[in-house]
Amino acid sequence: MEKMKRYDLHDSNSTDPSQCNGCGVCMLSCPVWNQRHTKMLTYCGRNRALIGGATDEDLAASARACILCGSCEPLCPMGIRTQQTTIALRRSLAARGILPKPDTRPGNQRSGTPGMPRILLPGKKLGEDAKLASSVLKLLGQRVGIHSDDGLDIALAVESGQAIDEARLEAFILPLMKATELIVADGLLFNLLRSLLPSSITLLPLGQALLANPKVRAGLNASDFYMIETRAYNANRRTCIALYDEVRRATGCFMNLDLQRVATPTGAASYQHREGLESSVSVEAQVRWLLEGRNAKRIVVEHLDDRAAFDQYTKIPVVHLAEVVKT
Amino acid sequence: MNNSLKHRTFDIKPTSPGVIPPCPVGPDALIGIPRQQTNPSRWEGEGWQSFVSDLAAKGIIIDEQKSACALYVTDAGGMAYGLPRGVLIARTTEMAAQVMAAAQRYSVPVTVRGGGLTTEGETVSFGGLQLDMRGMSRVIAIDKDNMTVRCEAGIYWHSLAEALRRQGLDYLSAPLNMTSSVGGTLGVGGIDINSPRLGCSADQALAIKIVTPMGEILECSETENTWWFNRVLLGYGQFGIITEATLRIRPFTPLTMHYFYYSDLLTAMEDLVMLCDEDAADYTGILTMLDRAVNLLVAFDSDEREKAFFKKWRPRIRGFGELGFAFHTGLYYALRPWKFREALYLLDRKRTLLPELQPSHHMRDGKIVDRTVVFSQAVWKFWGGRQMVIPDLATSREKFFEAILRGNEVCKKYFPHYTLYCVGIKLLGPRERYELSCIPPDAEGIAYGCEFEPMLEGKTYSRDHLQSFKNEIYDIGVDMGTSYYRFGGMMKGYIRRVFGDALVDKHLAMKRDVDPAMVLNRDVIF
Repeated sequence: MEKMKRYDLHDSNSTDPSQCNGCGVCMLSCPVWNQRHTKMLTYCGRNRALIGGATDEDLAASARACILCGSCEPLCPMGIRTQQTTIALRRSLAARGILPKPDTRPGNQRSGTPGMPRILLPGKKLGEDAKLASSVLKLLGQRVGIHSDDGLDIALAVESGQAIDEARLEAFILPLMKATELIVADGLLFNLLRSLLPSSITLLPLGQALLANPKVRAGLNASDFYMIETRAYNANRRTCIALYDEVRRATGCFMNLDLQRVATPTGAASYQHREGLESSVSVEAQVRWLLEGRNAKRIVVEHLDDRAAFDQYTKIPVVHLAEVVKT
Repeated sequence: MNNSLKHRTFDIKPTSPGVIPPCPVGPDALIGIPRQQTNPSRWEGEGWQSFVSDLAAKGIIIDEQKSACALYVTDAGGMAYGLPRGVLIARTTEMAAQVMAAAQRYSVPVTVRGGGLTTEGETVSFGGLQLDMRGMSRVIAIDKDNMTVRCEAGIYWHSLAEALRRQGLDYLSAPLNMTSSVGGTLGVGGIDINSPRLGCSADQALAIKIVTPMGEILECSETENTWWFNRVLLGYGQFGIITEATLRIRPFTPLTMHYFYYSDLLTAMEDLVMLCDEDAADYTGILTMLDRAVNLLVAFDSDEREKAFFKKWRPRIRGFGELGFAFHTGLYYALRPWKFREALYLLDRKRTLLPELQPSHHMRDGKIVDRTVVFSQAVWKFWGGRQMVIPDLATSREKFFEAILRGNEVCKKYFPHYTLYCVGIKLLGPRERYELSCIPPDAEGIAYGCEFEPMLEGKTYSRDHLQSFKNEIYDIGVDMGTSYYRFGGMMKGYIRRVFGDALVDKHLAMKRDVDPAMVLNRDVIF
């Protein structure tokens, strides 16, 4: 079995952030920018300020403002790993007590794996919805089991900039290395696993895994608004853009893709929203913008945090992607 | 110290704005060159605290933190560096008006910034206040019946396009750069590859709301406050701050793009002019890779226009299709093996750049959607960098060929690789706003512009090298009597040489009249 990679935010293969040319293209898809129009609160602003002589401490408010949707990352013409850089900044600030520590509740850490070659990491809400989880498993096909350790405490630590206990990380990752394919509902966890697991293990975001089933695609139609889980999509846009483009052409549905083909978030999956912290992104405003001019009759979500957001702020029926299959 | 030198130093006396005494260092240096300095001294912080306190009393808080100012240390050009004393993100027209009124009262310079895509430091503050207009980025109203949109002027064209697209609409013309702001563009012109048909972006404005340098708020159009309308559009920020704009819009259409390849720049330019003159296409422009590899792009909003082009004009243009050009060029390099490096460069450009200009996820049934996204991403990826110099020449039809061919020779002297981007710009007849702008005074019908864009390719060039390059391009303009797009900021030394004293003095008098303290964007023109 191959070894787990080291969790390292300083990726030697990525472009040094000081190479930023200040084009600002990354801001165009940033929900913080689009709601606040304050450059300092964006990745571009943080980076330009640092280049111009600001210190980490000066950027604490900006680091807190980011919801880590990853919309900036695929757009950087210089290839800077913007999401990783922001997480690194948060870690640096959190280590000095400048960023508050969230109330990290341990995740579901029951040991043991289902002993299947294909493993689903369902995330909190799907993990708690046995009926929906069962539908998901059926649609994913043969020999898929749900992993009992959801790893959400690790995802929260990454998101909030807290140090990750190495032993805990190992306990979470090592059982997964027996699998050949991992299907991950939480986008941030997906990105973390991608950086830690060997390439011999296939990693799929849940939405993409479900779309591989023709019955799921057949359940979509032109009056749907399809909400892609943004974090995994944006981090992997190069590889998954064709899939979603094809789905959009085939079904005619609207998607939460902007003109740059970056996925726009509701903001509901951010730890600020989940933890009830002050957020620079209003989920209600995001929901309104996502639906503006789109005349959708149904909203289909890949991630259940988004379902909660749409349920709260619209009267349009919202279903999970696994629920679109006609029986 | 030598006594005579000491004596001369004390001889330098303060002078009134607009008057230059003999140069104390080299008295013969300016002989024969009529020049007039308008801001003879730098602002040294006088009145700042009163200015800040005055605004704070009105609830307008200037951010003086180093980190906030550091954001604005340079512009897209990365050549001019300066720091504001404080920063304010404008949120309303009234806020901008109060700022300008206070700026006049305390003589504090105000530098306005939208996207900050200037290359000559025009949006860089050298002290004073940086007023970031992007806090005003709302789309106010879309009027489908009259096909207009009203928006705040700090909005990026891209954000405007996002909002319009939801309604199946689009703007008419805007720079091929997503992070240009509407206000900044209207202030300088704004050129698109559909400018041969539609003119510059500033000519799409039906009305604007402005804040004058004295802090008045005015609604301006062709029928209301016309003087201001014509002075602020294409006014390089000298006569007012645009806070809102009403623009023409149209139904959104994907477009069909065709590329024709030339092994000779002049031939491509002749074909471009012919196509512009005869209104043969909806979009036209030239992009060069090498002298031997010139790309004429032609695009259409409708199948009918495309069919008409292929029937009537395609037989008349002399460019190759991709296959024909590959064969022609392959043969050329096969017979000249010593030029293999050039051939490899071309192959690399073809491999890397061309796919970026037609990515599958931005194509629908062979048509390109979101052209600005596609072009802008390519521009930043292939031409962007921490330094950017883009000197340009804007000419009449008659001067176009000579000016560009001469500029092309200058590029060769300075850089191994560069791109020329040439477009036509339709003129709306005589307009006061064209005076002292990028529109050449002798152009009729259609003007032509060319940007000379060196590929810096990760190398760091000295400022002297880049400045010499720009000067040499601009000297062609002086010699031939053309205009420029980027004549402000660091290049403002050329303004009197290009436009002449009479015209510059006329604008200077108007500027002094409306901006007595000379505080609004003071380092751009005067």
